[in-house]
Amino acid sequence: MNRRKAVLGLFFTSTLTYSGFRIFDFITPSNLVELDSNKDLIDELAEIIIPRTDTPGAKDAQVGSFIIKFLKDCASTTTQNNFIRGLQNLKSTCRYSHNKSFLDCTLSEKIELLNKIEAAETPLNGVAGKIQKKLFGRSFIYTLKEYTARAYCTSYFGATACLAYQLVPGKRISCIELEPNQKSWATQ
Amino acid sequence: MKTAINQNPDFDSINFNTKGIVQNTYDAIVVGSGISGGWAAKELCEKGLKTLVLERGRNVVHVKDYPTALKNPWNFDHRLINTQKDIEQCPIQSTAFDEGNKHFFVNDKEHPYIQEKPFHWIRGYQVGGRSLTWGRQCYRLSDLDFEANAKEGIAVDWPIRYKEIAPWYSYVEKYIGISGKNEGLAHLPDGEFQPHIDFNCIEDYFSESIKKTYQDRVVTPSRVANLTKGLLGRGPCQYRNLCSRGCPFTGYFSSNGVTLPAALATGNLTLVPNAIVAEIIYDKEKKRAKGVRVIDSVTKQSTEYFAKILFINASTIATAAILLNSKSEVFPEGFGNSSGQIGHNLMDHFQLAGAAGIYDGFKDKFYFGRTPGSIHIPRYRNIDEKTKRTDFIRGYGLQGKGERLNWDDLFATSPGFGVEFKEKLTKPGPWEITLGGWGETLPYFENKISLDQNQRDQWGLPLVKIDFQYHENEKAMRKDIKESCAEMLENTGFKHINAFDYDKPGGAAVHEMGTARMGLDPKTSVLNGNNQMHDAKNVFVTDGSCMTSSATQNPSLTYMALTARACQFALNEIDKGNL
Repeated sequence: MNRRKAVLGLFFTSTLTYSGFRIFDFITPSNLVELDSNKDLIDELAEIIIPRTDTPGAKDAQVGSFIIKFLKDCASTTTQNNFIRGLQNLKSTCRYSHNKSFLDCTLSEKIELLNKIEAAETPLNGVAGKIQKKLFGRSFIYTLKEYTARAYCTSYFGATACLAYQLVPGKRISCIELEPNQKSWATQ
Repeated sequence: MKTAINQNPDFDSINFNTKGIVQNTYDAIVVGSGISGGWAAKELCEKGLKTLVLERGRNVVHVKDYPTALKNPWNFDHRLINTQKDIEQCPIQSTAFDEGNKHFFVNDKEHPYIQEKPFHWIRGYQVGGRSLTWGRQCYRLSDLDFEANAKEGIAVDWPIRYKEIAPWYSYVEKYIGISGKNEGLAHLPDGEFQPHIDFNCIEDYFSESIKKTYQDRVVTPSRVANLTKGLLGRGPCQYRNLCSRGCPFTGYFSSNGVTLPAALATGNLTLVPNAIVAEIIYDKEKKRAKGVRVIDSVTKQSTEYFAKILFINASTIATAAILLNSKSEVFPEGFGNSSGQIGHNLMDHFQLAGAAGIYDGFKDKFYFGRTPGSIHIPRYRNIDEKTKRTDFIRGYGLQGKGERLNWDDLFATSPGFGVEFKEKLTKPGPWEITLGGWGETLPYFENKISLDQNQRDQWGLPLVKIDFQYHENEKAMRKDIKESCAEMLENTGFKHINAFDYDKPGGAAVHEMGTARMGLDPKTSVLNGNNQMHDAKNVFVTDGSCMTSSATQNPSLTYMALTARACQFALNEIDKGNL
């Protein structure tokens, strides 16, 4: 019983700071227009996560459009609201700390800010984490990274240029030596 | 005019002939075209019987009707994740499908059923049924399974033993093509296998380590109906691991790709899709089934078809529903239900308890091609005195997979943003092995399906009501599965072990069984040892509903073997003048 109380106590304290969650989030319809009006910002966030290097980046793979589509069509209302609030928090925090918009910040300022948000949003471990996820949905950064990774790694550019992909492998070799610079398989 | 598929394989619609009994009379009727119905069709047609196959769903022509089979991930609107609309329309089926195969699952809103307690009834209403999307794992039952009920005084005894079904297992295995490895285990009998799919290096390591650590268990390549060598113009497997979209290479076994074309080639098959069997018609004088009444799912028009013998292969729950809906003066409680057992003793395997672990090593090793197989650890509990448990009877088998994690997992475990994150996301991750149990569920009389006469579907048929729950034996086994999987991974050097027990409702394993069980005594069972109805000798039931116990093995192979065996028996009976 005490252990249970301890878990719940921990869980409620932490949720107070968890992306500013509000209890009505799972029933309040999301203001999805916010996503379209922040398309530039979402494009930029995706590119910060997966930048163009010697292989294509998130913008090349049109990741931003897919993040918006996934959010609109696939995400739960809670996850949508967490994401939209996450965007608002990001913008206001940026104004407050740097006195400029996120898009106007330098790359290192942007990454520093995102690192801080990611650290603050780190989910709880174990049972409390499961309850947290179940009740409050995915956090802003988790969703952002999940959808960025999916949109990029399943795109033509991501799968064929940055990962290894074969529609019809034709054979199975169960054990091969890793090539230098070996890319991961896009599909398992 | 009725159009048979053997005359015009590309037909789009069928007009029913309601004129005369003669035109609607066949030697045999098979209800359902899934994994067991397909086998009945092939066997009966090959033995020269004019056979009518009735399928409630739409037609699916092999290769032609696999619209997603050759799509790349980027060809899908939502990149293979389900939308909220999918989840709302198909709250049950969406737990089993993705954007690549959802067209092979029913719409839950259009095909409702009642859950007295949560039960996932996963369905594919189309020609081929769930043989398109099945897991393809094929294991023989043994006498440990066939004798268990009798030894433990549970439910009723199986009317057959291993030696009676063994030749039929061989017959089916050779024809469908199963890759696997003989291990010489009495409780998981050897079979007629194609070369197995090799383990990758982590699976190899795990297998060797288990052999050293545990004398009572073995890790073997899963026995899957995927062809490692070409067979009768089919396959081989191209290692795409996209089986559930339908295989353009016929690399795995399905009714659509294998048994239905074989039946068609005889010239004896008439396949009618969109034909919902509402009831079986009883002939009081002859004490036999006369035929079936069918509702066209599109026009809602009724037609009657007649035959000497009937094979009911509509799948465990649907078969029981048809029998229960077939009421007559002689059978007020449903066709062939003098025992009162039809609909009862519903079983499903339970799964999704197990463990996963990470291995820190083999960093210079990888693999090519996507395997449709996995690893299998045959049952190791309650095999003999040494392995006897006090907390539960029967046992479970484990299935699992070893692979290097890719982006799908790595995005969540790689903190940070930018070049370093991209590097981690797109390079091979650590090796992981996941193990999960497939446990035996006991046949409980009170786990049942029934019909709700007050709630009806759009064809006026009563809705199926499912009342199913697991009991203490299954719960105790789940606990052991979780602990045992974690222990095996720990003892073989795995780290970051995540032991899990996702409490999924019944049906989630998609192995429904038991609603018209076989048995020796007509008072306590529905079918005899030849899958023949005690109450109507010209009706055979050879889908999952015939199972007297569930065993731990994936059951489709047993349905196929029992079907082939029952077809031979029926033919012999016809020859003897008994049918």
